[in-house]
Amino acid sequence: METPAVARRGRHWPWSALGLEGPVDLRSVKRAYAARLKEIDRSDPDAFGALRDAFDRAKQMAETNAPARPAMREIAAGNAATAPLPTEAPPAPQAPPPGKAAPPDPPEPEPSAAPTAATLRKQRAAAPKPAGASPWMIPIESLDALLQSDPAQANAVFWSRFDRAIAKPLWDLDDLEALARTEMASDLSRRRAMEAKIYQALSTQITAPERGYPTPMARFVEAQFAWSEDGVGASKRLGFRSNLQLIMYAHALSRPMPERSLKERLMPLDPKWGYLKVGTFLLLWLVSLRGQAIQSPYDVLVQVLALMLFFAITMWLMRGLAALARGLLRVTRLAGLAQRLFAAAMPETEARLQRSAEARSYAMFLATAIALGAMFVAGTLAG
Amino acid sequence: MSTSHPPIGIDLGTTNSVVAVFEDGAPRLIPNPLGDVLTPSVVSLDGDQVLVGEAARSRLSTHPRETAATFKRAMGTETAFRLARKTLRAEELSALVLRKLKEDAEADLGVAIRDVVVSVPAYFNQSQRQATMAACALADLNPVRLVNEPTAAALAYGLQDKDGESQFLVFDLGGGTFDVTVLEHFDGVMEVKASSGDAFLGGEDFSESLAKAMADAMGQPWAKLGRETQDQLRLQADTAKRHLTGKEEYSAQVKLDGTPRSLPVTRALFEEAAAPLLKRLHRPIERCFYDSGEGIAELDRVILVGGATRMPMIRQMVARQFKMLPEMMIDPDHAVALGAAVQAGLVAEDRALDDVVMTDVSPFSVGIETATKLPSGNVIGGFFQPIIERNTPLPASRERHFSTMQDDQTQLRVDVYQGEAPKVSDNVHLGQFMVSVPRAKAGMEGMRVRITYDPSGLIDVEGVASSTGVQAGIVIKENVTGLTEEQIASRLAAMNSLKMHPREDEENIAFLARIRRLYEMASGDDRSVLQRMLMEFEGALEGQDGAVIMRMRGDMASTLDAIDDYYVS
Repeated sequence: METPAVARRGRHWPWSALGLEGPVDLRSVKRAYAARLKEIDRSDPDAFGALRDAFDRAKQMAETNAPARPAMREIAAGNAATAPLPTEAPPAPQAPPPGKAAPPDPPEPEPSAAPTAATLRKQRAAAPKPAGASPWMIPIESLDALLQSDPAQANAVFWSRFDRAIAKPLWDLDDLEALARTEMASDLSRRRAMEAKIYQALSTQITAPERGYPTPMARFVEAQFAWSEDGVGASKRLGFRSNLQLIMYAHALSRPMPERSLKERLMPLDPKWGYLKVGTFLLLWLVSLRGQAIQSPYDVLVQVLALMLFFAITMWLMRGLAALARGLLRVTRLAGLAQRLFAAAMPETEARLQRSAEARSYAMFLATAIALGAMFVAGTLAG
Repeated sequence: MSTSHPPIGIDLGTTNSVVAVFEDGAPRLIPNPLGDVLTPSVVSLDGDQVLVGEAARSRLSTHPRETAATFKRAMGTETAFRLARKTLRAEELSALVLRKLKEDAEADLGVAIRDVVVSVPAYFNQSQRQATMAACALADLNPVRLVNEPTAAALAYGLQDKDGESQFLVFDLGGGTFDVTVLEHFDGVMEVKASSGDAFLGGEDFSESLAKAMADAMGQPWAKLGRETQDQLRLQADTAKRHLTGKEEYSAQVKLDGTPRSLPVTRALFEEAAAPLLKRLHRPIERCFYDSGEGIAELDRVILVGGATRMPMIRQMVARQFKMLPEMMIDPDHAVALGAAVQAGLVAEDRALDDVVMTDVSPFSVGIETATKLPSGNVIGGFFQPIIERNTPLPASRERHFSTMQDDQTQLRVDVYQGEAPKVSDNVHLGQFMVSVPRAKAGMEGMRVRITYDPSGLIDVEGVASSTGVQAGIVIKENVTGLTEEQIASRLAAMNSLKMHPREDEENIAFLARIRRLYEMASGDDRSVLQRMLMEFEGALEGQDGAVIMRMRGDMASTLDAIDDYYVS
């Protein structure tokens, strides 16, 4: 077992764990790792894990010459030109690389998230256009055919249609679905860029939960990118910062998660606390008896009866209070349902979590007020 | 491991199973008594006798009520199959197949066999893996390791090119499962970088979709056809699928309400019917590439494994997606078994494999359930907090700290889940235990949870209270949904009452079953020819003269082949 200090040093100097003197090229790192791997006990997760971590660090450091993967935001912002995706050739839309007469996946220019007239004009100028073809005139279904004859044009049309579809507050889902159905959209790097743009477009909704998502939009995202089904992957890819963001998204998918009040017990209490309570109660009673002289069995009987009566009243009061609390909860749950129905009618302006919490606290207040009022009225009537 | 027999690897497939042995530095496939290396994963009961393989497959159409197939799909579930009057689980049916393979291997090698490496789809979860382990126990085998099918295939390919350095992708579309794995091979190290897949997508789904399309083409709603017609259509669709690999069109013979009809099946019809299935292949590929951190451009080779990759549309899709021609140097039906034998050689530390090391990854994330406090003060529970993320190299062991949420909380419940969804309710529950902590304010006490994944993809969980060091934990050994050790023992006893057909008879039984199957299918003159053959052959069997029987089989085989070609595959 390594001490934490050694492990920490390993992070900055991974080469010693690989049996190396210091930084070497990628090829040598791999060779050293292969040699060490054959020596260690590979069934021991700690030994294997330490070697593996060192290998990953050393590999990463040896690869510094290779371009780092661009962050999602950069791809979405159209800076992919400065940091090309690993799968893409450097963008050179006007001059397809020689040797590939008809490249199946041409390098693509990345228009910015919100296409300005200038960028659109530039793209159109760059593409040797078929007579009078504006991006909006070309049907999405014919994009795949266009990709064969004129890749640059197809790309420009694809992205301008895509950007326009997600620029509106309520997306143009018909266009998006049609775009997603094309053969072009199955290209991995293009899909990555689509996802990044969508994440960007939704970012205000994601960081400000009170704005919520419209359900059909969330459904489209789920069908395409499976943020909910593959939450682990999505969190890694996009950097969802907390579970809350995923809750909002799940809400929009109409699969809300049940909330619980902190006052409800998260866990059943250990039964030993119950025994302890009864024990303490009996002990206190015995202590209180010490001062009194018990003269006859009659005194004992009176004491025991008094004790039982006291216990019964306490339990009764507690049960009553618990029932009242449960009743209140049920009322608030109904309020929550009504609020959810209301929310379903106008989803896009909805502040779901906020409002449900407010509705709940209001209902609680109302119920308490009514109960107190009823008690007061009953008291005066009896009086 | 102390072996008295050479290392054995078994590919327990949805449609076919294969057994291979590692000897003299190379894997070799072991044929069954019929001379085939592929044994159909079909089990049929004939009274008290069990038929496995070709004979059982022929009985699928003649005795559907006594025969079970594609039971690998039900591994890890409670599904029970009714065969005649017996009810059997998927583990038991798989165990019968394993027992058959074991007998074949023992007959071939002349030694008793116990230790085996069995392959499973990379995308099998814990309960499916455990069901596979249970099936081995029921077949009286000791599974020393489970190996992922694409990894096994990669080993089979990698052994051909020991010193090469390459990045490659294994595209494994089997009868019932789909796996895609990205690997790197350097200096004798076979390193899996990422694996993804779909445990319920395979060649059988393609047949099913074609069967439905055929029903549509005849103007018959699929749901309204009886079970028998559906089965018949499925069989025809399966045949059509095989024929469409080489031809553009195939004319299927379908008997509808007793009247035989001929239905043209074209490639275009099949491709249209299978389009939604093709779409489903994309997501695992995408995931795999993201997780491996590699791009398609870095790939050197793409390898096709699994019988379903013979379909031209799959090859086209792969070529288009990866922009290179896929390889199929080893028969896609054999690669996994060969690789499993190599893995068995690795586990047994075979001399020939001294310089080969293989590392695999976890197919799923494993973690525990957690809760989060909302701004409103309420608590939302049911979140999945992964501790070991998917595609972590194995073996792996990781820990994380969790703290209490309430004042005076004395217990922390650890619910272990496997999956990728952010909500635990969408993941697979593996087990539960409690950790006790001293009373304190919320967040002041906590526990460390450590999860360990072994090289077979099985899991062990441990929780330790931070302040007291009290331990609680589980080794998730007992089957999550299925069988405990005692149940396995009792079922093993029950299964021993089932008698395997004697091996010497197997060829004759398979031959007889084949004549009967063709008889059911044929019509007119062919029928009477088959009936006469059936009577002659049964007579020869009663005569018990081996030479006569063998001559008769040889004579009849060509006629049967001709009829087979006309009606079915």
